[in-house]
Amino acid sequence: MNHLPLEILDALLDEQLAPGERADAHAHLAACADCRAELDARRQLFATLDALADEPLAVDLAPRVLAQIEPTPRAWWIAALTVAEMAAAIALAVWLGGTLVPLFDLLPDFGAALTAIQQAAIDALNAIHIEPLETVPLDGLVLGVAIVAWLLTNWLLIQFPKQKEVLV
Amino acid sequence: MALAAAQRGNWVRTSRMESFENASDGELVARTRAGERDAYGELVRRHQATVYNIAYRLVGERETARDLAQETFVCAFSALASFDATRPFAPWIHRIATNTTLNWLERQRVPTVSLEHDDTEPAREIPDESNDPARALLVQEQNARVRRALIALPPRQRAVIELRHFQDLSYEEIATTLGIPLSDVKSDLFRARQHLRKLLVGER
Repeated sequence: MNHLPLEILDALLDEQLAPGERADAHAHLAACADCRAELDARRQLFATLDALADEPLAVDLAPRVLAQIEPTPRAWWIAALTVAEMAAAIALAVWLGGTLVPLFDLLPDFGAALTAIQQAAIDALNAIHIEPLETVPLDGLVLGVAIVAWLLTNWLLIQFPKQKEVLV
Repeated sequence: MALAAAQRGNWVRTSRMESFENASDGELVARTRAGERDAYGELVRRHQATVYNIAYRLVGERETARDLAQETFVCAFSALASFDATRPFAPWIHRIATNTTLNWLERQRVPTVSLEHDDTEPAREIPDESNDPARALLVQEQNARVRRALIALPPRQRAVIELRHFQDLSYEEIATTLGIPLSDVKSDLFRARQHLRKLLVGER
């Protein structure tokens, strides 16, 4: 006599057999003492697992979880850095404005606007009797330093929110 | 005046806590989504013991299980927008706990341990209500034995045992939860049980 595959016995105990398969399995079990014994052994394992007691949790996790999901307050220096970065970007645009114009051949309106902004800044400085800065040619070194500074400050701004409070 | 304000604040907080206690899980989820963080605190309190036990059965270490339970609730909070409020909260958080712990186990590549391995931390199970010290000790030893057998399994086999035996999921639900084919669920479950039977019941 062929015995029932062990997977079928497990599926029977798990109540995962289709009605027809279940009926076939029960019919076989009624006639096969070996399969009944195997089923009992597997049932014993299931009972052993079911009897596993829960472990009491000694601490309340709620305060820790709530502290961790609290939005991280932005430090004053993050705000200062953001403002400084914006100011530096505007200053750089004004300073390099004239030399950047050729880069915007495809966007003539933008180039003209940039030149106009630069001229307005120079006029404003003249109006308050401050010697305007000389515009500089677009130099590789200047551009490189500006890009590195921009990347560095953005990296700092991105990194800061990742620093969460360490909870014990 | 400041004292009165503080007392009023405490009263508001206490009455809000009482209203949380009477609220259903679904109401607490809705209130959390509306910005009431304390409502989420109540959800954590309700489900933390079960979530902790899921992690503990899977990792076998209390401290790690606590950390993973905490991580589970933090992850669940981030995913709360995707939670279907028409469904019960408990199975959802239990599945997140299982996956969070399984991911952790797979990252650690924890070696399996033998059933004969001594548990360094003394077992601290719920005392048996019969007040029979001998029986309580027996229950304690049996629990420790089952836990050691569970953590002797490879991580994914532990997870299928957890989902089938302790969370009562169907084969299809286990496949969906773990993102694996149904055939893998059946074979993992079969192998895990064969291994557990060898360790806990003995070969016939």
